[in-house]
Formats: sequence, C-alpha cells, structure tokens
Amino acid sequence: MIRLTLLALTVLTLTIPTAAENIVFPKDAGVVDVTQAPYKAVGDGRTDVTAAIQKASTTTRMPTRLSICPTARISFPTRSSGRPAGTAAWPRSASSSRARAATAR
Amino acid sequence: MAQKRVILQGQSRDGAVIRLKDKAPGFGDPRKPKAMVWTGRKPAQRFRNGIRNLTFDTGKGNAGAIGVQYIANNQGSVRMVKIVGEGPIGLDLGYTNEQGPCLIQDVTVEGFDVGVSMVHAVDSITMERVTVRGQKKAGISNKGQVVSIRGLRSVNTVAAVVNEGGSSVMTLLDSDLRVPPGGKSAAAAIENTGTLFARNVQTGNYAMAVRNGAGTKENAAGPNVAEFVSHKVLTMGGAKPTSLNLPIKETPVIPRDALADWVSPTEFGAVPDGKTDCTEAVQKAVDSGRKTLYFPYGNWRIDGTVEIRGDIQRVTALEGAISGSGTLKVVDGAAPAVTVERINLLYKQLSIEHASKRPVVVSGITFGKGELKYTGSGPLFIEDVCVHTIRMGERQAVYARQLNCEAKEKTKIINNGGTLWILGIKTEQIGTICETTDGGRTELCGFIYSNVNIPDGQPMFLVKDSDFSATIGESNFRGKPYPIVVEFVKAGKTSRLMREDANRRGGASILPLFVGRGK
Repeated sequence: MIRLTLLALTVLTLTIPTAAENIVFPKDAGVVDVTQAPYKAVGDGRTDVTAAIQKASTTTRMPTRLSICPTARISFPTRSSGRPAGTAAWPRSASSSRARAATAR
Repeated sequence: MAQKRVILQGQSRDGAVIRLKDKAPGFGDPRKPKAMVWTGRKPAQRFRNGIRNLTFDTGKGNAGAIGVQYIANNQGSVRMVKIVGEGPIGLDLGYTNEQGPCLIQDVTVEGFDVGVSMVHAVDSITMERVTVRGQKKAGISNKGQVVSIRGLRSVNTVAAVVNEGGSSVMTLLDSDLRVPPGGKSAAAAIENTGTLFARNVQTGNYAMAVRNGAGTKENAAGPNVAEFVSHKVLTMGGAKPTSLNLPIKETPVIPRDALADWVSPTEFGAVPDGKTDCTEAVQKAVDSGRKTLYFPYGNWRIDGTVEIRGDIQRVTALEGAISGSGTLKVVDGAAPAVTVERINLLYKQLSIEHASKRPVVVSGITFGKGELKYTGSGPLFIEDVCVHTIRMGERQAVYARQLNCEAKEKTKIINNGGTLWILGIKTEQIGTICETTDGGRTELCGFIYSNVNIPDGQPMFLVKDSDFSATIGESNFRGKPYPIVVEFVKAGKTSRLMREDANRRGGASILPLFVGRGK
C-alpha cells in the first residue's frame, strides 16, 4: 500500500505545469516580435502569417527570438490568400560569418 | 551555415496557437507528408534551435500534415509546447539524420498516427514530462535512437511506446501508460525489440506492460513495473542486478518576475559595445534589489567576477551572447534558488560558477572556452547544457537533464564523492566519460559518440570505491570504440568490463544496465 501511494505521488509531481503563462520581454531585449513591423503578423485566426513568421525567423539579426504577441490564435496559412501552402522553414540563407557576428551582439 | 540559433517563442502555450488552414493545399496526402514547421537538416550543426510556449494545430482535413519537424544539436529544447493534429507524426525527430542531443520537456502531442517519432542512431534525445494522447499507431516510436525519458504519460489504445531494432536504447523512468477507462488493448504498453531499461512505470488495460522480443525474451506482465531490463544486467562488486535508484530531485521552478522587477546593466552605465568591460555596472544591477537580471540586445563584455547575490533569482541573456573572460558567480543571497539561463557562450570565454548554499539551475546554455564551475554546497541542476567538463566532490549533488560534454583528451566528468544523476548524457572526443571515486554515487543514461580512435586502455567509465549504474548506447563509425567499458576498483582489486563483454551496437557497445557497488 505504501509503495502504491508513493508511486502515485511520483506521477503527480511529473504532471506538466499548467500555471497561466505570460512570457513577455522588455522593449530593449532585442526580441523579434512577429506582430510588429516589418513582419506584422495578425493573430486574428484568419490572416495568413506564414510569410511573417518565415521572414522573422530568417532575419540576420541573430539570435532571433520570436515572441508571438499578443496572445492570439494565428492561422497558418490563410484561408483567403489562395497561395500554395508552404512550410515555415528555419533560415537557410544567412552566411556563417553573418550569423556568428550577429550572435556576438 | 544557418538553420541554427533560432528560438521560436510564444507568449503562452495555450494562447499562442499556430494553426494550419483546414484542407490546406499540399497537406492532404499522408503518403507525401509535409511539415507545418521545419527546422533544418543534418549535419549536426543545428545548435541551439528551440521552440517554446506555443501550440501547433494542423487543422482539419490535413491528413498529410506533420506538426513539427525539429532538429537541434548539442543544446536546444522544445519546452512547454502542444502539438495537435491528424497526420502521420506530431513531433518528428527522425526526418533527418544526426539528430540531437536536445531536450523535449513539458510537451503534449494529441492525435496523429505517431505522437513522437525517432529514427536514426545518433545523437540521442532526452525527454521529461511528455504527454501523448489519442495516437493511431503508437504514442512514442523509436527506431534507432538512444532515448532517455522520464515522466512519460500516455493515454492511448495503441502501444504507448514502440522501441524497435538493435540500435534502439531506451531508458524509461517514472511513467504512466494507460488505455482510457473502459477500454482495453491487445497491445503491450511497451513493445520492445531493442534495449530497454524501465523503472517505476505504471500501465493500465494493456495486454501486458512490456512485450520483449529482444535479450532475455522475457515479458513484464505488469500492470506496474518496478524495474525491468530487456537484457541481462551486468554487475560488479557483488551488486544486486537493480539500478542505484538515486532519489531524483525536481529542478526548482523559478517564478517569472513582472517586468518591473527586471533590471538591465544599462541603467548603471554599462556600454554594450563589445569593448567596454561591464563588470561594475552588472554588479550594480545585481544589487539593485530587483529579481531578474537581463542583458538587452547589444555586445556585452564581462572581464571580472560578478557576484549573483541578494534578491536576484534569474539571470538571462535572452539567448544572446556575453563576451569577456569573466565569471558570473552565484554566491549566497536572499532568493531561495537562482537560475542562470538562455546564454549562448559558443566561442566565448565567460564562466559560470555555482558557489552558493542555495540550489542553482543552469539552463539552456552552450559554453565556449569558459567553464561551468561548481564550488558551492547547494545542489546544481542542469537542463539542456553544452559544456566541456563537470567537476564535483563530497557533499555536492548534480541533477542533469540533457547534458552534452565534449572535453578533448581529458576526463569529462569527475565525481569525487558526490551524488550525480544524469538523464541523457551525450559526449564526444577521447577521454574517460565519467570517473566516480571516494564513495561517490553516479547514475546516468545516454549516448556516447566515440567517433574517433579511443586509446587502448582507456575506460569509458572508471569507478573506484563508489556506486555506479548506467544505461548506455555508443556509436563509432570511423574509429575504435572504448576498449574498456567499465573499470571497477573495489578495495584495491580491479575488474574490467571489456567491449567484448557488453552488448553490440554496430561495432560499439550497449550497456542495458550496468550496476557496480564499491562503496
């Protein structure tokens, strides 16, 4: 009996924490916010944000940190664009030296 | 090269949802699957990629949509992420070779044929607190990797875990795998034809807990499994064939502070131009009375020692770099625990030192020429860290999740009398992986990539008058693997577990479970 109780407790502590999250950063943190210019992703559940997220993730301002703000549903891609749906990809184009220099901040 | 150092960060897992359009063109054919998010391909240069606090939903009518194809190497994590859909794979960790090591933590996958998929033999995956639910073929499928999992929760009618083939090596701890109430499954909770070490696993409504087609060919009926090894346990020093089962401490959760409690060294005259030593201003920021020290976008240089003390409970560079030859030294202070996190020190010299009575968490950091030093008496928690060496001793304790050690030509980890627990180690280069001496206790699992010529007479593990247990998979494609897997010394008498005594993984070794008791 004692063993079972302990087993149950073990699993309980390993539940994924569900506390409300609000991950935000100061303005000077250098976080690339996909909802701000020049990316301007709109989190209304209808607008295609593929290009905005792709552009933000391929910025040469490495390390890229993307904050999807504000909390919202984002459609990916849009219903209305009619373009072939793409896969958001990690950047392929930035050269090694650029990426490294930018990492040096 | 690119495809690295990109961190996709949401504001909250449940609030920031990236959703694929219903019936999206190109995502309809499961025979030609396509991922919503793709993060790069081999070789293993995809350092530090990360995804955090987001939900990915592949929508309706997209039977060919894979949720996320993720790769990171040496250091990188998917944390607090949910993936929902109906395509072939939710979290695809097997679409390209040379995957990992990386950390998958607090991740939920709902739907899909397979929740989490791994395929290739290198470079290992570590998971903690992963939930898989409602899959059509398997919760977790491993066809080759070395995988270390703790806290897997599966709600499925199909097998929760499929660990398949000779190169698959899985450690599964503290998990709960069950068919939903009222249901019943003809499958085993764990279908194994690879190497499996399972401990404290509860199952429910399956035909059996483990169906074992490898090694001993002995199944585990279950429903609960205290400890199970698919193959014969290797022992020394008269040890019983069971793991050390060291008490595992959870990584302390450091509360996130409101922005009003964040402090930047720029408020105290720091000039982040890469030339100016900012040590003094950083120390003033630490002593400001606020709780989170952050480094804004800039080129930071610290050449002296900054004492992390007082009220500071979080130090973060927000994934940025810090130059200079200095040290961030956590000493005693008012905050009950401190985390130093999200810093890229690749090619840098900065060191971080735990010199405190308090617990210290080091998380999401790639070290360069600097070191992670441990001189304090509080426990050291490591999550998703790439470092050269770990040195620890008496009255010290390290609890690590996803630790990459690549020191060249020297012993990577030395435990002189302390307590060391590692979920998912990965190493490279010549040198003994871990020495445990002077009554130390070491328990670890993970992957040894000895892809060079390991010198004759060099043991992978050295255990001297100490307790040690391990589950290990090794790979070596172009050199000589470790000739001695364990060198065990007890009261002056030396025993050796040679490569020939271990199980085979290609030309390299597998330890399903080794236990030596020499204290």
